[in-house]
Amino acid sequence: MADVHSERRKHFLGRQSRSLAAAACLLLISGAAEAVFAAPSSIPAYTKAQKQSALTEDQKISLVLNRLAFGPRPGEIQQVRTMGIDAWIDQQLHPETLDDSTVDAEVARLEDVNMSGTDLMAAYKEDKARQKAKQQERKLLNAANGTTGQVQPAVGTPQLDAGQVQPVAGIQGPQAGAAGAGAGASMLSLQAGSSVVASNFGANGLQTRSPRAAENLANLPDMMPGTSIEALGELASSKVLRSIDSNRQLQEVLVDFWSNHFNLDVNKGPVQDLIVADQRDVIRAHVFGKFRDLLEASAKSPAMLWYLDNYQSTRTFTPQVRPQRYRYVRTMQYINGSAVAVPVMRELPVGRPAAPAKARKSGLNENYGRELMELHTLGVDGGYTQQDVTEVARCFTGWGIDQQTGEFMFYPNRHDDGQKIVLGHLIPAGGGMQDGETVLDILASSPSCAHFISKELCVRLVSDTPPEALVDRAAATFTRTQGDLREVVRTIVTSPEFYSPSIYRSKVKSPFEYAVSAVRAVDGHYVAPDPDNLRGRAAITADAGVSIRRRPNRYSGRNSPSIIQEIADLGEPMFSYEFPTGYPEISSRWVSAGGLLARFNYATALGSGQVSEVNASPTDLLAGIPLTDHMAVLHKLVGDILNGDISDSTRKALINEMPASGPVDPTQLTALIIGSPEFQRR
Amino acid sequence: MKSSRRLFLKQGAIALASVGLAPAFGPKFLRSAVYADAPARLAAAAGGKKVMICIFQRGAVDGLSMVVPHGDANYYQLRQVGPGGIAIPNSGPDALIDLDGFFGLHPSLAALKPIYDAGHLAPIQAVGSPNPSRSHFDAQDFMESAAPGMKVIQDGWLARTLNNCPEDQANMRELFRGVSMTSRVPRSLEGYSHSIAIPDLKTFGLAQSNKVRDLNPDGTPGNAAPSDMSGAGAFEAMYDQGSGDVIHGAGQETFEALKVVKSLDARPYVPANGAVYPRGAFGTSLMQIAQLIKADVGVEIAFAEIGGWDTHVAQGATTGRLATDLRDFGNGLAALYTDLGDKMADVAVLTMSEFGRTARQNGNGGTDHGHGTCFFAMGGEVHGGRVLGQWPGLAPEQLNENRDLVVTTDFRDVFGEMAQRQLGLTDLSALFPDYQTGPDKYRNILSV
Repeated sequence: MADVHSERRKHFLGRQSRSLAAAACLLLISGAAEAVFAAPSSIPAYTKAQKQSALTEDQKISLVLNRLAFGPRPGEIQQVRTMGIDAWIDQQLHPETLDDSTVDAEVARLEDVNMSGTDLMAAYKEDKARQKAKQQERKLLNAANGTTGQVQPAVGTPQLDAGQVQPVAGIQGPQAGAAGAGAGASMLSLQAGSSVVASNFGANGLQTRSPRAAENLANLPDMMPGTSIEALGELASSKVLRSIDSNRQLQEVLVDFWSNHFNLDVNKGPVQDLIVADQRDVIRAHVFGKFRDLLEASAKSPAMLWYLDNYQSTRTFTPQVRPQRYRYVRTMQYINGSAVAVPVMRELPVGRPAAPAKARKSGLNENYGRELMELHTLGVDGGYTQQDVTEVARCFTGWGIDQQTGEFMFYPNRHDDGQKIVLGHLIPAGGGMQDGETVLDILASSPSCAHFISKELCVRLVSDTPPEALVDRAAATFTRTQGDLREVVRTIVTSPEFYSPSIYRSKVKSPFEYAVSAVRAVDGHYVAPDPDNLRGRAAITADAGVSIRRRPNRYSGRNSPSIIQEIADLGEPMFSYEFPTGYPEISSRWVSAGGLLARFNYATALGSGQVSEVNASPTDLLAGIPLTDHMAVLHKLVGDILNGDISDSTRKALINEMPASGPVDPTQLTALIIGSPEFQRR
Repeated sequence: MKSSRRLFLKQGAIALASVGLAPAFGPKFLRSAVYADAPARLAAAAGGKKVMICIFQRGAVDGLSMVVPHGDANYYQLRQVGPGGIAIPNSGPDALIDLDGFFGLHPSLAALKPIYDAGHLAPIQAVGSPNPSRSHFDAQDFMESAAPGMKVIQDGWLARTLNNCPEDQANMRELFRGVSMTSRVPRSLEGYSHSIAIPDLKTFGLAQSNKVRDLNPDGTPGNAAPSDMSGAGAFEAMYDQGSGDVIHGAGQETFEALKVVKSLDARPYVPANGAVYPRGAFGTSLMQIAQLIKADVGVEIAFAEIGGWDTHVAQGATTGRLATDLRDFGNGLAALYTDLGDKMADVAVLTMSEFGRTARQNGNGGTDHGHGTCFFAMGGEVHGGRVLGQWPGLAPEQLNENRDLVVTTDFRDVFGEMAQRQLGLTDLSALFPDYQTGPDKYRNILSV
């Protein structure tokens, strides 16, 4: 069999190295006694590499392409070898120098990713209102048909007075407008005494809570029905497209990292749509910029303001207690069963009874204040206290969302203008919006922040347990450059620790990384559904509705799941992690029996071309190689997908799978290689 | 032959040496033979084998709303009844369900009342962690590792329980001792080398190559026929070598689990005694736990989780977000109880959450992070029909930092009691580094 190992050994081992290798072998044998009885062939490749004193050139390139990119495409290792690793890294750190016009053109077709905050908010609200209208309609129809009992009135709608009958607008036809009283009794107008009330419909037949809400809704731009979920689907498509096909791979890796760092969950209200703006204006815009800018963009991101509830956070205020007034009325009453009425003065409250005097009402919501420090900047050990959390939350009161435009808006009347002390810094009273900016300054310039961010980047790019020296060096760069993220990444990836044998294949791929790298490994491409036709829109909507917007649901009704659905099935539904902590960066957390099984199934589907939206044909990789030449086929596929670096046991298992004679099945073989233990790692 | 895979995996390295012909990496025919015998042997051992089901409510559930202290005069001072308020009224159509004159169940948990009355359900109030952290991440970490404040502890308390339980020696099959109905192995089970995470039994199978997933009659894609294992052998061969690699270990577990699941009844599972599980992931998890327990595959600890309890905003009272989630929660537990039927004599269910919530509502009709919360214990041996724990009170001077419920029962006392009295763990110091617990601290959740 074509022995890849021996070829490399010829290249790698000179005379001196051969004796070194012999010595190393002796060490192996004597030192680790256990290893003696373990057949050397059962040691997986990465362990073998970790016992080397240094990585080979190819292994270094493979490492780089697995950390700074979503895995190599066939032949890419050779390309980088020609260009030189340093040159490649330099290019990736300056993505603007790389031509990416093909992908840009593809993404341009997914127009929704460019939607403004206004449009996104409008789409969300209108679709929600339509949904409510449908529910209300169904309830009323059921009530009219007697299938259900009482129908609950919509919140805030006025109760019918006794004897008044109002037709329910919207049921009679698409034109609603102001519900005309007495405009012909429809079969759905209901007698007083039932709790069904006239719903408030805006001009476009949408259900809202009050006439004012209806008016606000009418002032929003009209969006096509279903846009709210399509926008999310197109966002997901664009992310997968770029991750698989873009030349600016490091940018995509970092986008994935920062999206996870500033985690959002699309299952929480309008975050479903506002995330489109967040991905564009917060994450992508600042991946190679300054951390302070990224942080500010996130703090002002409507999606984040909603996700961490800050848009609702207001200053503490004391409610005005209206003094209760009484009137005195002389009435005749029968007292104690007496047969004779006597006059009695009764004290009756005037108007609505006043609420009892309450304590100072706090509108403060600490969620963002806490997560800003714990998860976004300093880390849980970053040296802040509960008091700091409250003070930071006070600084960000008033940072909210303009509900009409879906953009950031500062509300001075909600802001707590008192003096605050944050991490020992005094923020004087009367600062207004500047208070929040000052907090961001304090946090971004803190040494804890430099260390925390550097550590997180190292965990993603280097290892689950990165060397402290590397983290410290990156933190020093962070501090020195005032948070220049490009330079911090450069420091990490040009460090000597980066190419240490213990790093090679030491991380387990996350489901997203696994799915994407598998497509790249077979030289596949992503084909976004065409949003301009019905089928494309349906596919995009199904992806968003089934795989992202809700918990992964394998029963999508589609025969061939899309790659977005597969990613959800693998355990990492996109943009859908509930907690602000984001998906685990410690990659060992991804190893589980259920997870592996899902990966095997994905590998099988991909190998046989059954993942829709992906164009991958392993047979193409074997152009010119006869399928009857088993070893050549194996060599080519293992070379393309794993650069030939697999353990002997994996190789033996693959060989055993070949038929005794006749052509080999490339799809099954490809599935096995992608499902191999080596490919689970990066 | 006692499987010594556990021994080698504990050491982690490539240490295979002294093991000899252990089933894990002997010739394949021998392995098959060993496991082929197992089902019969296990059934004999499994009769009366105790099971513990842990359900984690992630996000810090509001214990004061689940088991309402309506008898405490301060409750209605701190929280308001009516529109915008989160207090549960004690009269009217949506009233709480009184338990003992002081506490009452949230009306959405009505399904639990009959179980309480039957003496098989006991809420435990004011349970929590001595660690003051109100960070979800940290508090969950501390609770799942049962080592509050100690970040160096790598494994979870359920893992340590399984690793130290005496029944261990009698077990032939380690595979399903610790099973979790989640997509990743939870923190609580980390460190138990055979823990297995199965997100969904229905789709726990290997697809066949070159075939699309078969469609069910109703048009939904089914899983690949789990009875067909032709693809499995090929993948399995790559993971067959013991090597200390965590991925190889997980791979081997995967294929063993596949065999077990394959041996389960292929017909759709029908819950017994007319139990109806709520639709959704939580209901499905519980149903599948019941399925595995009844199939006698050797489940000792089962884990499920349910999120969505982080009600900072618009918590609602008798209607609204919390109420809706509690309905699923209560109905799920009740369905599990009904479905398991007689087997409940051997099963104990424990629900938990990382901390509770503030006693007062915040400015957004919700609550912020707090301290003490309410756990539930349900099972045949549970001292049900009463509310356990020590109620600290809700007066301003009785609250923790004038903000939330004081913790009067360290959660480790609850965990220790469950591990000792339900699963037979004897060495509590192995379970809790740096903490002493024992029968003098237990809340008497279980009969001895």
